[in-house]
Amino acid sequence: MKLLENSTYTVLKGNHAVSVGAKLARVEVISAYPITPQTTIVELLSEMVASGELRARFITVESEHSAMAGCIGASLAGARAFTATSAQGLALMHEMLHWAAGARAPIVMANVNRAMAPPWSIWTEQTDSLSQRDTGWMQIYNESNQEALDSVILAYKVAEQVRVPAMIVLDAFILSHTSEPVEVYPQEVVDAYLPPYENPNALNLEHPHAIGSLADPNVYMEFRYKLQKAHEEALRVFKEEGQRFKEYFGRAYDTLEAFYLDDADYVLVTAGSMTSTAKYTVAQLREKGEKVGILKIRLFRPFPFEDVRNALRGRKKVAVIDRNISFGHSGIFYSEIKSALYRDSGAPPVFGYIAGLGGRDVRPNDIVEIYEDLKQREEPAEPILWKGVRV
Amino acid sequence: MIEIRIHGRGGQGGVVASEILAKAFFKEGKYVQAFPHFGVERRGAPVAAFVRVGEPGSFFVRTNIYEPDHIIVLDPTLITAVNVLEGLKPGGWVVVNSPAEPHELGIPEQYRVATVDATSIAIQHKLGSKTTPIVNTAILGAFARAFGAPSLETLIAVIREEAPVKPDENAAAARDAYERTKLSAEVQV
Amino acid sequence: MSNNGNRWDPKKFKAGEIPDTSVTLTDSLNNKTGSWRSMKPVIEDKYAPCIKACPTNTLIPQYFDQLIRGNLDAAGWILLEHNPIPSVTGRVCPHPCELGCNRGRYDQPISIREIERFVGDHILDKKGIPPKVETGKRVAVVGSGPAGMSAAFYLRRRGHTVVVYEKEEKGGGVLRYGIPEYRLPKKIVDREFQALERMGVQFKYRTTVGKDVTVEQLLQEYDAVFLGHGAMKERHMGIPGEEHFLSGLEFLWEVNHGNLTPPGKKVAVIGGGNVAMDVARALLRLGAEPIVLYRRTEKEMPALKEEVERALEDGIEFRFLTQPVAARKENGKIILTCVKMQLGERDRSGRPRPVPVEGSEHDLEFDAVVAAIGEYVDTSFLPKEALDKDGWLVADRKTGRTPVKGLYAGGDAVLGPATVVEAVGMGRRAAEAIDAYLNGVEDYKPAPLPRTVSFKYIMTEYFPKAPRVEVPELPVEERIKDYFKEEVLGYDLDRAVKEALRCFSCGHCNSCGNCYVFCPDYAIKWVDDKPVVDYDYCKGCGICAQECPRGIITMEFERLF
Repeated sequence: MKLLENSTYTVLKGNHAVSVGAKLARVEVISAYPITPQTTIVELLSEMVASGELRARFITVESEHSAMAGCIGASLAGARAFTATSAQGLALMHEMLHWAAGARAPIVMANVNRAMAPPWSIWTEQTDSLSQRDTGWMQIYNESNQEALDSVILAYKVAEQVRVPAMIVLDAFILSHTSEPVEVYPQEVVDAYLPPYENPNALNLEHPHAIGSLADPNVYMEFRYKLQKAHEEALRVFKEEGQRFKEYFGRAYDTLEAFYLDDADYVLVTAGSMTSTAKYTVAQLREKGEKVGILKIRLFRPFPFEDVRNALRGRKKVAVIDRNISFGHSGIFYSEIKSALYRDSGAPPVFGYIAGLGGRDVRPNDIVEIYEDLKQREEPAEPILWKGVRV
Repeated sequence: MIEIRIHGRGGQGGVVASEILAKAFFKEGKYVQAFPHFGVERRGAPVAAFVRVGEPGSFFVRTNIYEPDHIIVLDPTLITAVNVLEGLKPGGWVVVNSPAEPHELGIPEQYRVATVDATSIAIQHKLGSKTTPIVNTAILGAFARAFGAPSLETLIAVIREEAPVKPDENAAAARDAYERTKLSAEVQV
Repeated sequence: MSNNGNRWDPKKFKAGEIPDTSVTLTDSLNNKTGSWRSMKPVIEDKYAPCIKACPTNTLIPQYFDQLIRGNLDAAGWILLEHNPIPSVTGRVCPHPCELGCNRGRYDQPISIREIERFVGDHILDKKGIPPKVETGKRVAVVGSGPAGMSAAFYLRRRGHTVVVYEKEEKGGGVLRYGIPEYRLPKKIVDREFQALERMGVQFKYRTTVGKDVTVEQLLQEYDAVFLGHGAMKERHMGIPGEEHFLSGLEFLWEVNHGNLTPPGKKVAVIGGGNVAMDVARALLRLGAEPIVLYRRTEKEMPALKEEVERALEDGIEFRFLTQPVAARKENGKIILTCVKMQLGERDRSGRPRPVPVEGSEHDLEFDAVVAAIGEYVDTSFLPKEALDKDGWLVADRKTGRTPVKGLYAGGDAVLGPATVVEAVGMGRRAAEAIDAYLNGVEDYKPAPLPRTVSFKYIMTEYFPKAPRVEVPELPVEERIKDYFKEEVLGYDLDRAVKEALRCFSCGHCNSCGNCYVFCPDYAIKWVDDKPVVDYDYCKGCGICAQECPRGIITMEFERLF
């Protein structure tokens, strides 16, 4: 692991890595409401604000809906705004998520994946963030604490160029509360990469104006078109800035990450922290001569259609392991991957496995069993293959 | 990769102990992972925290630890309350906060046992209160002695950085425990 | 924030260009919405019911507001706008304001009199400031009781030369020679007169109008004359042997002149009014054993309920339904022949008429008898043109104007025996009318009173229930021993503020900010700590009026043409 000169290489919890990322990004307004397992992100930020280590306004609000409303106001006023939430809190924000995207406010939010209630759960699952798929937010899934920290900086860099809000996503406890080595970059390097936020249309006391005003059928569609175009632009900017990231910080990021993929006949598609366990397992399978690799999804919105097609074209079979579910359909990554491959010549058969819902451990042996199942399974695929469910 | 499981009761500092231990190994060039038992904690209830230690560049899984290489027990009453030895690999260290001799604890012979009276040491250094002494830094001294790593110097340096209060007392407790640890067998690292 | 002046400017957009998000392409400041409105909110202080109920119309919530904000002087000056002697009324007033208080319909009325006393005492020695301009007009004031003091104060404030004629050697009338020391210390009265003197009011003591100088002479000598000579004549009972009685006013006059020997040990006090109560309670403090004889029952007593209660607390004996019909003197004792009464049909005053019980005559023996059955106005010295056919002084209640040009009157002289606060109110109103007269205003009419905010306009949800702040008083056993000890100790600053904080502030904007917070269109501006409606943006929704806890904001129809 490369160390930047003057970087601090330290052991941080995932949540604190996010806080440090926000601090390095010099966020100016934090508007937040506590919820497990997110709380320690904004808790550390509030301490930084209180001690003067971070020059920002910390707005305490009475709900997540207001937390996002506060961020929208701050962002439209020209401030770099940040918040964090989880599960029910994210769901309560839903209306404001549409608002933030529609108002083109480049807010960055960390969502710590937590299963939706009821039944109550505080453990990880991606259904909360994936339920916000259509709000117009970018979504970046993270495998490690380092990725989480980096994603905060990268997200601002992209979001502010295309004026689209971005959600960075990490697993409850498995990342949020786990300590591991993280490289914390020198402030001046981050400042060089991420200049201060410039909002050319920031609220102006000289010319007060209303944002989000009525748009009749004559113009509404054009706003939607522009937001879609902004997402398409965001995909290009994300790839570009992910490469530039390496010039500054020594790590490159792309929409996807490949692991033992070059010659792999079989591909496991994962997102988030489960990827680490899959990597450990695949490395062992490779030692036994199995031609298996991993495709990790990092950027979910905008969806990297082209990259996914290129990565999976010509494989024998693909298993998508989803720690989420769209009821009445299937795993959400699974359906998205399938739609990306539709009518692509050389598209492999894709099988969808649901595993690890509500924080259930997905262990190396589970990965091995999914791989073994994939190898012997014939098309057509059942819509859902459950891994580890007791029925 | 070695996996260590720490047993304690909510409020005893087991999670902090896992982080200090991880940071000490990290300082000695290892790759580490430390995490609490995923879930809700309650003061006094049995809790666990985990540490993984390995060489840089090795792949770490992100799962609970089911078959630890070693265990640390902050509260001797836990030995009868929960099955602290569950999944422990043969030959592993069982480091227990207890004034007893290692052989007196009735731990199967396939395990190596280390005991230290961390409670007395904590009280002696005024860590926590007499009724609820904070024993986490003392027991880490015992682990370093039994396992042979991290070095006492590294451990004490990290304790000084990480202890939320009384860094000197915590460091002294770890040193005392290191010296007063009773081992059931020769240390082999 | 890192925007170097690079902010929204509508001019940046070209015609037909669609921005990233929906925004108003003109400044929203230009987008005025006022013409939408059919009703508009009007922010205007109104009268609290306490103000209406007070004969002086003192702006009670307004001066409370200043008191709460710590502006004691400002509070005092607001109080003095309508009542020049709050230290006096703060002690002796029957506080009709508290009867009007909206809070009385919620938990307990505000203890307005006690706050008035505190603020009055604060301003007492500061208020004697001469006017900045002298008008050169001269006004004679007859009598230096509350009506005269009030008229003199307000006339002097307006720069007129004021000469007060007083037959006694010191000023104050009933305040000095009627009300006993334990209710109103004479030191307070002294300080009131010091204030008037500092203002430049002139006094001619030991000068009786009607004897030493006539009203006609005064009318010649002065530009205007105010009559405030009170109702200082004791009524006669018209029974045989009455010549053995002392009158209540006589007795109090003696005591207030320093004659502290009671007329006897066992003393009958005849009557149920305020003077009778003062007489009985003074007698008790001077060591006598007063017995009150009253021909009706406690319920019908014309004295203030509070005074009756205090007399009862003092342990004074009351004989109700007892009417003296004759008196005779035997061996230095006075034998009162009394009859028992029973209540019959209601008379014109609305009270049941007492009817003698046949054969109930009985004799009671006393060392002395004080009769206090009421006072009347001496009009013998007044010009005939100022009197009606029954010999009563004719004066307009709102202006004090009499049929004689330049002659004004107020207080008991007009009302018959009434209260200090009524005299103060009439004195001020007459002063205003005289001022108008002196300025050549024909047909002067006082401005109509603003609308009163009734209880239904108070949003009680904003006010947690709270009992009145207790008023420190001497214990009964202590107070009855000493005629000179003031029995009510009054509020200190903490208590006064705490009690004032209970006030709903009906009709007076105390800058609570509710309208500002609730206005959905930001059409309430905050100017000099007060709300102001920006009618260019107000859509007339009425939420501000609905949410005002104290009825300041009223919705009025827009008049478009």
